[in-house]
Amino acid sequence: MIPAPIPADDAERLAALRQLLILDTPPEQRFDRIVEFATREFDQPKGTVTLVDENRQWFKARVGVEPCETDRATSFCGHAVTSHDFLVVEDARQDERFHDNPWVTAADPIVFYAGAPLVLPSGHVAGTLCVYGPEPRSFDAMDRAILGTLRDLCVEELLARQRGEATLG
Amino acid sequence: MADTRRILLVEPDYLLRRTVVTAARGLFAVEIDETSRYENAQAMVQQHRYDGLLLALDDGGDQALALLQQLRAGALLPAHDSPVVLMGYDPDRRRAEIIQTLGVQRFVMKPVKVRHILESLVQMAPLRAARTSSVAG
Repeated sequence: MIPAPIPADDAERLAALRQLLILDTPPEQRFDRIVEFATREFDQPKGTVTLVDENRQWFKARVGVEPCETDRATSFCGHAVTSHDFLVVEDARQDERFHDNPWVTAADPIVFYAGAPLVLPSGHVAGTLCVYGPEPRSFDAMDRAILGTLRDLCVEELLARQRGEATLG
Repeated sequence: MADTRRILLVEPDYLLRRTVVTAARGLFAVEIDETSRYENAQAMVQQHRYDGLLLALDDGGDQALALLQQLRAGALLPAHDSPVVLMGYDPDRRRAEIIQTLGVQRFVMKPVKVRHILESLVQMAPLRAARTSSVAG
C-alpha cells in the first residue's frame, strides 16, 4: 500500500478547508442529496462528500458508510486531493497503491472508486465527491462528465454555505 | 457553430436538470434551454425552433402531453416531427395510449439516470468528439 501522499501545499490547503467552517458540522440536505444522486446514478452502494483534514478524512455527507471519519493515510480520498484530476480506480486489487490497503482487503471491500476533487476558488482541493463499491467497474467519459457536474454543484453548495446562503435550487 | 443543436429540457427537479444540462454541454454540440415549468415551456416553444425536446411527465404528465400534441399538430415553432424524449414514472393506461400516438423517440423511466437521458441526446445532437475524452474535471 502507498499511504496517501501529503501535498506540498497542505498547510495552505488545510487553511482554505478550515475557512469553510464546515468540519464536524451536522449533515445537511444540500450535500446529502448530491451523494444520494451520485450513488444512484453510478449504481454504487457507497458515496461521500469527503473533506480531507490533517490526519483524517471526515464525511460531510455519506451513503452506505457508518463512521463519520477515518484516517487519512489509508484513504482513497487522501490520494485524490493531490491532484485536480479525477481519481478513478477501476479495480483496487490490481492497483499497486491500494491492493493491500485495509479497505480493499476488508470483508466489505472497496474495489471500485471514483472521486472528483472539490477544487476551491483558491485552487486548493478541500476533499472529494466520490462513489465506491465492492465490484470492479469501468468509468467512461460520460460517467466523468456526470460526476464532474455533480462535483461542481457540490463546490457551489460549499461556497454558498460559506456565504450563508440557502441551498441552490 | 452550424452543427450545434438546440434542445428544450423541461424537468422540475433542480439537481437532475442541472446535471443533464451541464454534462450535455461538455459532451455534445448542443445548447439546452431549461425550465422547471410547463408554463414557461409553452412560451419557449413559441419563440424558438428547437431540434428536440426532453420532457418530464410530472404531476400526471398532462401538461407535457398537451405540449407534445400541439407540437405534432404543427402548432409550435419546432418542426412537427422533432424528436421527443419523455421522462416519467409508469404512465396509466390512458396516458400510455396517448403517448403511443405521439411519435415519442424514447420513454425514460423514472427514477431516471442522467446517463440514459444523455444517451437519448445522441439521436438529437452530434457528439463533441474532441472534448469527449477530456471531460475530466
